[in-house]
Amino acid sequence: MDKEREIIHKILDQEAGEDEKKSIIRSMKTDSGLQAEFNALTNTVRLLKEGERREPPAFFTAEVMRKLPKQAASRSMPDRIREFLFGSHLLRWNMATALALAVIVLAVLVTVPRVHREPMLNAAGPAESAATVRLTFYSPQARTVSVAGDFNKWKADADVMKGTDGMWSINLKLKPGVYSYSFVVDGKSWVADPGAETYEDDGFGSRNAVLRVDI
Amino acid sequence: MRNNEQSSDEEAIIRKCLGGDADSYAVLVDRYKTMIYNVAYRVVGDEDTAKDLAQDSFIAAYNGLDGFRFGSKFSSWLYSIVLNKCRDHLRMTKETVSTDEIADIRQDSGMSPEQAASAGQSRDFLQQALGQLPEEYREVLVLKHIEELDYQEIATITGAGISALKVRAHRGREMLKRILEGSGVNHG
Repeated sequence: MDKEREIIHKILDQEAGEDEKKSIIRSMKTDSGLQAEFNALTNTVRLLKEGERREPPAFFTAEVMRKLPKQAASRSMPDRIREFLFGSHLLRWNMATALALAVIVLAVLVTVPRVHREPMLNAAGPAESAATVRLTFYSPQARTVSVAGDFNKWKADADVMKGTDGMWSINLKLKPGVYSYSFVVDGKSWVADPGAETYEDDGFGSRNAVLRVDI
Repeated sequence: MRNNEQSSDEEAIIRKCLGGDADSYAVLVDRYKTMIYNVAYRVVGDEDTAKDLAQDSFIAAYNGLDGFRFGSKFSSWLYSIVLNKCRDHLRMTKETVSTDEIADIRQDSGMSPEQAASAGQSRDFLQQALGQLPEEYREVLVLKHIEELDYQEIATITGAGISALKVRAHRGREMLKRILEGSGVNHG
């Protein structure tokens, strides 16, 4: 019965194979108890699916918009300056911008004395740069949240996040690469970032978020 | 609107909000208000509280927009925020089901939900039964069977592993079935 019940739940999850469906149909022909069990569970799920969907109250959107903070959702000014100075940037080009920049570069090359250019050409290249990555996590009941991952050798107390009104955030400076990570809530619960683009199994039945950093 | 188009449209709206155009956020609120309000209602079981939690969720999402990961689904992010709000609320109010409510369910013995609805009764059988489930079972059933999300997305939203979610759904369905049978709802 346990195996058959398991197959019934696979059917309800729409994950049962054709052979499993056929075997349950065969069993139900001779087992009225199983048939009743199947019907009851199927109807339970049907009730859930067909449950009335309620309309939100009138003026719901207007009330939300009225309650939004006056300050824009954008980053604070110190954060913006830090981001501009140390963050990675994507430049959007058009033909006019490219031509204008080419003219400026040409003018500089022509006017700057050769003696000043040579040391620049011989200068060592910049060290591999890092990008600033901001991670956020909403957890109003958490007392502490930190992030552990490949970038800090999975130390749960290395990168402690800052919390405001339940929204926890941290800026990490990371070199280009792919990193697995997880949030650590109150020092004991490991939670995959709900906002991550991709995930990977952690080998213990849960998942880690995966972050890709490009410069 | 197809998923990819919707996603890029939403990213454009979020960029506008981050650029200081707060008014464009109304498009996202309008798009997801029914979804978020219904999830909150099914989890906490009270319309006024659901409205407050849903509105708080939209405001929290707005305040955290600068941390939104472009490329991920805005709806998943909203789901995770509203579920956290609901959990927080339930924890604070230490939700209990009163004996009066259980008695009310039993009094409706013999009527299917359809019959009750057609008889003009406003009682929500399903909601009362859901309210008796442990919170984590209720969440999975709401996301899986009412919102019709797949386990992968539910895992993203809740942070739980897929196998754990399947066990919760399995147990939740069994428990819900027993509650409905016990309350006399003829759903066979």
